[in-house]
Amino acid sequence: MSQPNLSLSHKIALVTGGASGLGLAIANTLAEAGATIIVIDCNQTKLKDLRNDFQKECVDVTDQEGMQAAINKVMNANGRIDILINNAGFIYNEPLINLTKAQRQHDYNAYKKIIDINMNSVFLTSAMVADHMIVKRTKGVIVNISSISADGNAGQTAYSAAKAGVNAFTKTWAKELGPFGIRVVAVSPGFIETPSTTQALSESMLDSLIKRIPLRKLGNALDVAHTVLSVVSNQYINGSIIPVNGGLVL
Amino acid sequence: MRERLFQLLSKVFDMRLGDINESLVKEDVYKWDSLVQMELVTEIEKGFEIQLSIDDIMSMDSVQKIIEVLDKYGVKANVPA
Repeated sequence: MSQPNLSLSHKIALVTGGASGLGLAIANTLAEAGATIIVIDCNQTKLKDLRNDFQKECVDVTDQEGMQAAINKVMNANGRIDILINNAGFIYNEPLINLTKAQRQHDYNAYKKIIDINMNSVFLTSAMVADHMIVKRTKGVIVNISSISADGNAGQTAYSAAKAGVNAFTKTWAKELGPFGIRVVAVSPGFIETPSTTQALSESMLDSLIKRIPLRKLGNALDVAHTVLSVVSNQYINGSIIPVNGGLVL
Repeated sequence: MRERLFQLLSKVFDMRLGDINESLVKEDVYKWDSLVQMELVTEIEKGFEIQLSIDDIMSMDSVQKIIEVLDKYGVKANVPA
C-alpha cells in the first residue's frame, strides 16, 4: 500500500494572519512540506521576524483595495496561488446583554468590526483568489480556519456568528467551485494554546474549560497545522468542517 | 459536432433536445443562471477537451455565441452531426 503524499513541492500557499499563532504554525508546516509561502499580516514587526524565504505583505485583510493589490502582486510574482489559508481573525468576547455594565447591549460597532475581520475578510480574499484560480485553471484548495464557537458559544455573539458564516461559505463554495477542481474545506479548532486564546480567557475560565475537554488539555498550534496539511494534501476532502477540539462539545 | 453540443446543452439546461436551437438566448432558458454558466463551462471543456478563456466564458450568452466561441477553438459546432 502506498504512503500518503504530503509533499507540497512547487505549490504556492498564501496564509493570511500568518505572522503569529496558528497562522505561523500553519505557514511553517506548509513550508516544511515544500510549499512556497506568502504571508499576509497587518503586523509589520512580526512579519519582519519571519523566515527570509517567506514572501511577506503587510495588509489588513479588511482593506479591500489593499488586499486586491497584494494578491495581484503575489500573482505577478508567482503566476498562481494553489493554496489559500484564510486564517486571519480576532477572538472577541461580549454577550448580547451585559448586566454588569451601564451600556448593557452588545456594542454594535464592535459587532460589525468582528464580523468584518472574521467573516467579511474571508469573503473578500476568497473571491479574489478563487477568481485567479478559475482564470488560471488552478485546481487549488481554500482552507478556512473556523472555530468550535461556530456552533454557538455563550459570550461570543459576534465571533460565533462570523465563524458560522465561514462554515456556510465553506459548504457553499465547495459546491460552486468543485466543478473547477477547486476544493474548499474548513478546519475548526477547539481551544488552542495560543496568545490570542490566553489573552481572551482568564486563567479560571481556562481551568474550567479544560475540565470539560475529554482529553483534559488545550490543543496546540501544531495539532491544527498538521490537520491543515492533511486536508490540503488529501484531494477528496471538499466542503467538510474538520473539528480539532479534543472531543469538546459546546 | 452540433448534435454533441445540443445534447450537452439539453443536459445542462434540463431541456428537451428538440427545444435546443441556434436562436436560443440566455433569457429564453429558465435554468441558465450564473451557476449553470459554470456547469456549462466545465461540461464544454470536458466534452470537447478544450480550455476556454475567461473572456470567452463571459461572452457565452446564447447558443449562437457558444457556437462561435467553440469555432475559435477549432470545434466546428455549426456543422451538423
